[in-house]
Amino acid sequence: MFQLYEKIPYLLARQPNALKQTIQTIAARNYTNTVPNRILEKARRSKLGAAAKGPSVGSDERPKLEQAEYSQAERDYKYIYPDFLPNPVYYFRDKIREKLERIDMINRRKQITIPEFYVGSIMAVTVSDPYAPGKSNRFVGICIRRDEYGLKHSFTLRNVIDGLGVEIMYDLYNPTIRSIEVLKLEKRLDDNLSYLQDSPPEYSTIPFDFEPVKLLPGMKVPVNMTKVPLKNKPWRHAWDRKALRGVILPEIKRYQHEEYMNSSSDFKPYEKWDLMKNYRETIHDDDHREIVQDIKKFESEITDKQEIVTAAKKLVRTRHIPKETPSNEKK
Amino acid sequence: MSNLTAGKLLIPYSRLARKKITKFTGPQGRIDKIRGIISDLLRLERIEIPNFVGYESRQYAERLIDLAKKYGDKHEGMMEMADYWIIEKDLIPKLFQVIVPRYENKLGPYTQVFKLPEEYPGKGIKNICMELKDNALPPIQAAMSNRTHNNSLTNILIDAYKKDYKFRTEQNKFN
Amino acid sequence: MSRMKIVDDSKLARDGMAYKRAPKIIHVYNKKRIGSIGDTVLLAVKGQKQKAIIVGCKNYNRKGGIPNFDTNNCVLVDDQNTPLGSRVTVPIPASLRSHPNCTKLIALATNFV
Repeated sequence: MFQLYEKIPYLLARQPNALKQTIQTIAARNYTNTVPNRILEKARRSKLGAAAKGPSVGSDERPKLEQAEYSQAERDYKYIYPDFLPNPVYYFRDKIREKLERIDMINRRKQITIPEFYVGSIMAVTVSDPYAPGKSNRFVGICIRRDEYGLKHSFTLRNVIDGLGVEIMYDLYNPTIRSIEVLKLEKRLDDNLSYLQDSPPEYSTIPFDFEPVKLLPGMKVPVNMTKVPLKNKPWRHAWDRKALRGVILPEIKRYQHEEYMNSSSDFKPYEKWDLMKNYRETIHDDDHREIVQDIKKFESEITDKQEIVTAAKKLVRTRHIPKETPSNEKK
Repeated sequence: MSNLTAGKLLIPYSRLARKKITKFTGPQGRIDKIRGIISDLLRLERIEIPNFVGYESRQYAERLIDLAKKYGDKHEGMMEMADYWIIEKDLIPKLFQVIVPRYENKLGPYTQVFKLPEEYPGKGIKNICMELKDNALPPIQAAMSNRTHNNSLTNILIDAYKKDYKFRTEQNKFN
Repeated sequence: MSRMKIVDDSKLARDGMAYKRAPKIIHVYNKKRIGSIGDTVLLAVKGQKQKAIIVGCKNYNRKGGIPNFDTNNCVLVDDQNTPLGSRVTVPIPASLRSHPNCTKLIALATNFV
């Protein structure tokens, strides 16, 4: 720099354009790229900057519940009957116990119809209760999560009644359950909707007289794409560390957010590609083939049973008709 | 977690958890290292690497070929997976057009491993030679069956003992 | 010392919830010393001691069919288990119907879950 100051009178006399160029290059090199962080943060907080922040950092707009977007998901035995899958951790496994449990589960499924349902679908469960006036108790809610493997498989429903959130966990193969209905079959973006505890109550309120919505036969399962805004902290769990898809986090400073996501131990993008981790935590095709055989046998038995029942109904109808006809003849 | 699944792995692997390969770079660095080894293996078809790295990356290579056999090159998730694991992109068509048809009728492991001798004097590093099966290179197993053991220590000692025994018996005849 | 929400219509409940300190559990009349649904409990409300019955828990229960709520709820009660208020404002679990402590309390409830 200081050589340049000495040269200035010389350059002004001889080459004024060259001086301009040198000053511009120095300015470009040193000062244009460095803006202090606090000035940038002011710009981000201002009203103009708020539009460019994006939905994850915070926005006042909330998605309307009526205008939910939908996409479609494929049907597979793994997702229709997740309770038939054994525990993938190898030291919890026992092939004989799994087989015995499967027989029990199929026997129970022959007694009551357990429909296909997913996390996010709206359901109604009636349980026999000796002290209740009708000797039965009915509860309606969203399915939040599905836990455990085999006979222990359970699901929890959530609803908001009188402004208070209520969750009930039911064992799927509990003999006191009288009926399980699916009022609206759909999926959500996440496999675990426990974050509804920390979201506003309108996202988990369902009236008890909810009318069932039917899907056309052969249709794929619709996926509800609504994103749920969360309340401010404190939360029950650290939801911002879980890498959830169906969540809008409350407003925090952008630099805080990025630091938090990078430093957090639960944010692991490489796990999606880890082939061996996927292999250890799921059940491979050779084991799954045995289970599918049992399920298909059970399904074919049920369809045979239904055919027998429909044939029997037809027989009953035909028997009734000749009884009526002679009475007409007498007239 | 991706939804891609395939059959049973037919090689030995640790069922509980992954093994540590890298010292400082963490789990992301571990996967980056394995990505490099897989693309090396697909290009050269026979490589020499340290013991503990080789057995760990072998599982991933085996699994990638298994998935490629099942889903083919028109599945979206499979192509994303291949795009992630193979760094040199000209090897992606090689995986689907050369290696998958090669093992079309094979169930078992698609890779082979041979232990290499330790260098002496050295640091005691155990190396292995890993290769894809049915490659065009000269086979290792034939070379191993033809090799002679004359230079091993026990054979040298036995030969020396034989010589000594002959020499003594001839001396006894004269005496 | 868990903080409770009094779900009751009595005057003490209204004043206690509006007071600067939240009502807390001091003692559980139980061998385990850990309160759950239907247990009687000693509360510190508005600087005085008062008995209460737990009517709902946050805690996740492994036993099937029993609900867990977003807040810890309780109802203020006399020494003879007679409730001070005349109404319970939130739903209470249906399993309390058979509980010996809660016979007088159930008549006040409107919703069972």
